[in-house]
Amino acid sequence: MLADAIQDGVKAPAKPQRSRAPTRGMFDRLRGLVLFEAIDGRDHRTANANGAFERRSARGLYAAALIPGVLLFLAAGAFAWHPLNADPDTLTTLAVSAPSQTPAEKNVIGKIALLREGIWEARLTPWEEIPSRGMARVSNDEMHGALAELIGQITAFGQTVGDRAPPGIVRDRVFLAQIADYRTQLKAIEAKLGMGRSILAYHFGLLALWAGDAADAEPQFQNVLEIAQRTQPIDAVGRQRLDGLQASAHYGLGLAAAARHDWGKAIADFDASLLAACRASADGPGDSGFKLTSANLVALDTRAVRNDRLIALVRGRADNDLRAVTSPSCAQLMSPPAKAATSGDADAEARALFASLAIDGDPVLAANLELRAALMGERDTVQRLNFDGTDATADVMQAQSLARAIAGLDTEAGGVDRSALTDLQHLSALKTRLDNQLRAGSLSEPASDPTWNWSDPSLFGKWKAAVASSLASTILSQAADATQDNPGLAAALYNVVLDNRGWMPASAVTDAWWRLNTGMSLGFALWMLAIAAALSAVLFLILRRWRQTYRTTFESWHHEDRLHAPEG
Amino acid sequence: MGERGEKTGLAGGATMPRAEDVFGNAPAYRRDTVLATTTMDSDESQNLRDLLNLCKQSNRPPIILLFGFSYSGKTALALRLQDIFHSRGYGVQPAVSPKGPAERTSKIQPYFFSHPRRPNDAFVLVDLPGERFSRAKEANFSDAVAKETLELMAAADAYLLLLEADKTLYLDELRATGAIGDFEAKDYQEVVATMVQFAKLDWQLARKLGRHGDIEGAAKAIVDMKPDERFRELTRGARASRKPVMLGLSIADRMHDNMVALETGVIKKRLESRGDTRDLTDDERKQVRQIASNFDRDPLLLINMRQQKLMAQVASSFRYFRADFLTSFAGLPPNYTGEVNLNLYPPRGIERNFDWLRSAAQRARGGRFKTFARKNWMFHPVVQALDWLPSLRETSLALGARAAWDEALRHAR
Repeated sequence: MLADAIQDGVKAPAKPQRSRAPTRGMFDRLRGLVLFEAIDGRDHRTANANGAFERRSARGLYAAALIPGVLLFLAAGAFAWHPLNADPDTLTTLAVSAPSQTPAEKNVIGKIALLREGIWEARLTPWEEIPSRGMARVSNDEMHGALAELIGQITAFGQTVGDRAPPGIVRDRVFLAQIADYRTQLKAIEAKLGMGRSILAYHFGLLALWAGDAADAEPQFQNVLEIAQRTQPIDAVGRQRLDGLQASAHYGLGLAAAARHDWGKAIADFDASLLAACRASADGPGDSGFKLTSANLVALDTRAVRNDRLIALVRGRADNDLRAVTSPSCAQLMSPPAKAATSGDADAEARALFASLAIDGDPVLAANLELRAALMGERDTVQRLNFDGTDATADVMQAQSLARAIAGLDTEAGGVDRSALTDLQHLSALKTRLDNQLRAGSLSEPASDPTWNWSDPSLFGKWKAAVASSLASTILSQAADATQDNPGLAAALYNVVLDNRGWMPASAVTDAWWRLNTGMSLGFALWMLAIAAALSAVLFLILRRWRQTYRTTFESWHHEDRLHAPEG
Repeated sequence: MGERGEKTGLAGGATMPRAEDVFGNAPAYRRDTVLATTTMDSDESQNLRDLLNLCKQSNRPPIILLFGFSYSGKTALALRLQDIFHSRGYGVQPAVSPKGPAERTSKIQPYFFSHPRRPNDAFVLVDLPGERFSRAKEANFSDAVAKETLELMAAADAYLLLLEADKTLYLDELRATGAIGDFEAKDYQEVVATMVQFAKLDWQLARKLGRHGDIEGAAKAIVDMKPDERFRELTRGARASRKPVMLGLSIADRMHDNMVALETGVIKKRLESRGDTRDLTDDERKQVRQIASNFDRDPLLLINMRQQKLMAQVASSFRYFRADFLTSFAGLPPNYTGEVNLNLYPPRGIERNFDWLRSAAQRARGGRFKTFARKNWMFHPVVQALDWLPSLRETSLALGARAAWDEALRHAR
């Protein structure tokens, strides 16, 4: 037996021992074959005599690693292969919209301060009345008189700037000196009356806000808020007054947060302010546009809060993914679950806002909405929101003329960057054209007018690329949703992408082709390819290590050594 | 000039060679063990104490235990390794020297191999005579000497088991032809049986080491076990030890020299049993020469066929093992103690086999984290879980792959 085993190739012919061996099943034979080819890798004669491993073939190793991966890939392909055979529908309209602001466009918008910043109302007034009863009373007659006189001065002073304190404003030195004077007088009164009075803290905060000092305003309004929250009202009037205090303090806090560009906190504070205002006027006129009066200690126009909230929202959306209802109603604010942020398309919300928000007699809000509509290419909306400038300030009128210029309704808008304005005008025209096409159920590549001069030659290309990728992804997702229920519509939508292959991104066009002709997305195919490749790679690594172990176990180094020993 | 075996002039003769001619005038193994003293001399005890102190350090060099009975070529192998590692820039402490007949006792001798610039590559080669283990077994692992042997086994990171190639593979043929006597053959059978017990005991030690953590505790637990429990078969589902094991079929040149004679005898005997008294034909002679020239092609299969019990035990006790023939010095007369020419027949085979054992020992021993975790009982579950994990380097994988197509190996198993 020993002699048989070590003879060169003697093991190959049939032996009596072999006939005695139990017959091996098909599975064992196959396993033997696979392991022989993949692990051993030598030819039969060499392997039977356990010969040298040097001329070992790796063919079996590659096959054993690749075949399972290829089979997995083919099986997945066969499983997911469902070409879309339905006849494409005729499209009457495309229910998609182009993005309102692409990154390239945002750069242009950033050049025009009015567009970038919006028009803040930021209108917070001094108290109209100094209470002589209740928690906030000033019962000392002498001090009451002094305080009433000072607040009267402050009120008159505030009217010179329209009571406005837009976030981030920088005041001149004379203005600041006047405010410092008022602060000194207030401090003197505070020294006599004592600390912890909401009326004093509120006016300190108001003065700081007017001076553009958000960091100083914030703790003062916080103080007012804490006093208002801590105090127990004794009657309905007291309750209303405390709510009014909370509304104004939250508004002040929101403006301070906006000055720090902390849009999330600003919106939360504006919401809290609106909520308190809604509570304060439970029997008031309605959701928006009502005012808190002297009965609430401080006169607060909720339109101003809503306008500022809208601007914070628009600016916050430009910076990060801030999600909030565009203009919440009192009912939404009062019920906590509805107040929770809803995820939605900012553009769609803006369109709903154009239709729903009452702008009568509110030029600032109207101007803000006009700017937004102009940037979205909604020329009709700009026209509809138009107001006459009888009771509007100069900057509001300028905003309106800018919006009309962008929308192409006017030609002149004074005081803004001309090149940026013409860029925006061209883009607005392109968007209007695109919107009309989509409404008519067709799509073609936007073309730049040869007479147009772009401030940056690459701007048009960048805008087109961004619009193309956004449109393509929307159309593809719509088509994917429609595949089950309405394959004709899905086929038509895929064809829209394929017809626009000249300007749509190549990945989207390939994806549309894959989905139309194979029924699977390109991503799925690539994932399956990656998984199959990973399977093969893992098998390859395992088999290679196994081969090494095999060689280490069975290679006879003594034999090799003896063959190559110098003395023979 | 033909095969090496013919050079002895023994092959062509009608009578088979006697044991003295073939293997030299080696004394029976038992004679050595009986003569060996049970008390250690002071030199050895100092060596052992140093070694056992070293074993307790967590960041110590790997210990490779060279286990074999007298005349299996342990010292010759150590001498050859010293030569190999000298040429690689290593220093050996103490220097290996051939032993005279008077020194052939059951003495445990550690050799410290270290490199001056690569401290991490150091290792300790410990010469553990088989007689020492036999004696410990006979004393039922109760005396201090036996306990030290156990501690050494528990601390070892790899084993190099040396067996004389010819007796391991051709014991029946040698006895049948009268080359060795019945007594000596029985003795050698006992040597192999001791090897089997050694492998079994290592598994028990590994288990106790896992439970008790420290080496001394494991040795004590083995000492406290009942004798029949000590060499019990592996429990079902238990994992084998991670210690790499090299099964060395030593003095392969002696076997090769006598192989033609032995194989001719085998064929002649086969002819005689058929009532044929003719001489070998040319074809048969050619076949014999072919066998002799390829004798070392498949050592693992050969030992699997001839020493099934030993292989089965090694395969179930250890996860990483290898078998190969070893020839430390070719062409030297038996029991030669004089000066040897180390340049003669540079054995790359020994070098590669030992390098495999050393790297496998370092791998099994693990890195900094494992040595740290071994010392802290809190990490023992982690260490055990990691030890339990299968590896793609395990020899059973290779055996399985070969058994799937190789009928010879399948039948041997």
